Amino acid sequence: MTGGSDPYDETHLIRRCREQDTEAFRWLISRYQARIFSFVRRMLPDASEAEDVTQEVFVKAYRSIRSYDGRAAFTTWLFKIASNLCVDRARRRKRRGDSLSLDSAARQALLMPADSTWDPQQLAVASEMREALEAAIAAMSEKLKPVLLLHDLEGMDYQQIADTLGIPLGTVKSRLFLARGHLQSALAPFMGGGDES
Amino acid sequence: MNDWITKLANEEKLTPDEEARLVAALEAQADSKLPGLVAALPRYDVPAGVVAGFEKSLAKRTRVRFASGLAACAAASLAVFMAVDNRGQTPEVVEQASADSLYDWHNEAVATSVLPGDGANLAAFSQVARNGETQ
Repeated sequence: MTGGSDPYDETHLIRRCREQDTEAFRWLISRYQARIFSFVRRMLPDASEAEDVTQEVFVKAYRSIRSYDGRAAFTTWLFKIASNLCVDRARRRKRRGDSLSLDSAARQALLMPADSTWDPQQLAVASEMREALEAAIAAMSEKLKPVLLLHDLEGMDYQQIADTLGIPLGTVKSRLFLARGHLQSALAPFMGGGDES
Repeated sequence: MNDWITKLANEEKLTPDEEARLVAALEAQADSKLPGLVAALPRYDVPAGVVAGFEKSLAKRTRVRFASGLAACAAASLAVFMAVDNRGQTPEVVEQASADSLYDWHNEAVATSVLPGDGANLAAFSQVARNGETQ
């Protein structure tokens, strides 16, 4: 049934945005601001910088909405703007290199199968574990971090991530694997509970 | 033994076997619920400054556009005003031409004794004018 169109349907909102309908853009912001900010906040260590960059994402998106051709999902396009701005900021700061070198703990973690008894609900309860996870993500290389966040937090598939970050599909897979290895290593003290197999 | 992991860290090209190994390892990680731990991370609350900053940027952009439009209207109005104002200058040019021709006529008339010069006998002039005599 294609009778009436929902005015808040995303396709409809995007079309209105292209006609400089600011109200339509406000609706889009309200839908995506939490996701974008959470992504940017984890990509950048400084909270106020994350706030600036998130604002920049929406300003840039508003100014260039006409260049969005609809071939990729709108989220892909929006996260592409966000990740590019985060990379620019990180490069300016040059806090860490882009090395993917693994310390011995991470290498060891990757060689062992991850614990299938890990319970995501534990994370909700054990704030200490969550802090360790957030710290591990924050300390991660700028190459690994966005892949992990876009896949495991935002639920994007490999191809979407490849399109968002402008990297090959194989690189997405290898970086995701390495990123999770870092997390395994960081969470090792919280897991097992005496079960060593 | 760890060679393929080193290759991953160096972002070197993998052999087909190594690629298959990577795919299997990713599936194992997915089964471990480790991704679930990441997925369970909470969303941050968006600071009010994000939307406020965007609105400010939008308002500034609107003001710049409004000012440009206003300037364009002002320029157009000034052009129209000047065009209308200049139309009043045309009759002045015509009158000046008339005055010049009357002045020239008088001088010529004096020079040919049709009109008396300074101190001339007006009665004699009148006679000349009535007779149509010229010198």
